[in-house]
Amino acid sequence: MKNVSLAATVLALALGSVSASPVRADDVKTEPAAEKSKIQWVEGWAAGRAAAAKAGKLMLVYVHRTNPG
Amino acid sequence: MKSGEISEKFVAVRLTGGDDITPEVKEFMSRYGVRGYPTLYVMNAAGHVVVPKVGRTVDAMLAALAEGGTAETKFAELAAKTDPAGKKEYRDGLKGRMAWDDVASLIEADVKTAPSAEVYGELAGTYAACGRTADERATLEKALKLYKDAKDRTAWRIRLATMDHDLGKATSREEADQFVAASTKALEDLLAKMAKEKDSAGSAEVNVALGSILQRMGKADDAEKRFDAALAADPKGRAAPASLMGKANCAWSRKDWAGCKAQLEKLLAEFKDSEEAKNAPRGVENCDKKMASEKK
Repeated sequence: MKNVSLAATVLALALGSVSASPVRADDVKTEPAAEKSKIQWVEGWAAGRAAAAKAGKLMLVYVHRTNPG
Repeated sequence: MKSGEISEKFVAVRLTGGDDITPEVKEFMSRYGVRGYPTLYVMNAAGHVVVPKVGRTVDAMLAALAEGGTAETKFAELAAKTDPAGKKEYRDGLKGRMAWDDVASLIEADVKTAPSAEVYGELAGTYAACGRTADERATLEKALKLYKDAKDRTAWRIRLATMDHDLGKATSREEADQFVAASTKALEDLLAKMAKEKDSAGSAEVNVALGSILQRMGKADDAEKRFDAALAADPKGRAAPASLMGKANCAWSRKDWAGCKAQLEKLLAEFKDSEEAKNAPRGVENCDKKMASEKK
């Protein structure tokens, strides 16, 4: 569950998310199968929600980063 | 092919972050707590996160989508419950689904029937999660007027001082730099007010916030001065664990593994029940790994 305690948010501010942090040193990101598969993607959140509402289906939401170069 | 099944049975939605991020994707990431790439959720058209953890293989995705169908049926049954326990379960379910607008409506009712500093704080945090800045500001201002002794007062003041320059909403490096500069100025002004008020605990919290920003900017030495100032102002106060974690991060960025480990061990020894202490053992382990690999 996402923590919405304002005090915790403010106090933690960027401590857990700074790039130079010993508690994040082991984070490894790998490309999921989603990127290489033949899935037909709807681009964008509003477009995706509209398509899901129209089709009466659940969404698989994939948040990724553009590859440099 | 199995991946084709995903497109047949569900709507596959792709959101692109990184350097080309749009305000829409930025808002999504903020609202739904996306902390890294890639992130996969199963969601419904109402914007609820139905399955928050989805594996990265096609089989795992199909399993999560099936799980989502079951979860939707159960949640619909929960929504129909009218007894107190059922209502609480429904409310917790909404939070778990990050359905912040729905959660906000329920907390708004609590503010009317059973107001407290905690309820106001929870409402403000929920407004923040769903990007309702004006409502969040009004709630915090009202809470500050109503609850003079609330433990979160300084956190509320920090948020009010910096919410117009929320780094989470920056869509470019340039904008992030501008937000950092504006937040730093606002926090320095707040620190000056705290000094006049002789509020040492508040000063410590503001110094931690300033240190965190400086650290994000890569200014570890300046950041550490802020964390030291926080510890000097209130050595055993609520900002102290975050100050020690901040100092550990500063040492880590200087590749001072032993120094980093020392701060983390101090954190574990003196504030073992703090939120920061939960992450500290992993940090100690990583420091040990770094030191061992340098000895080889």
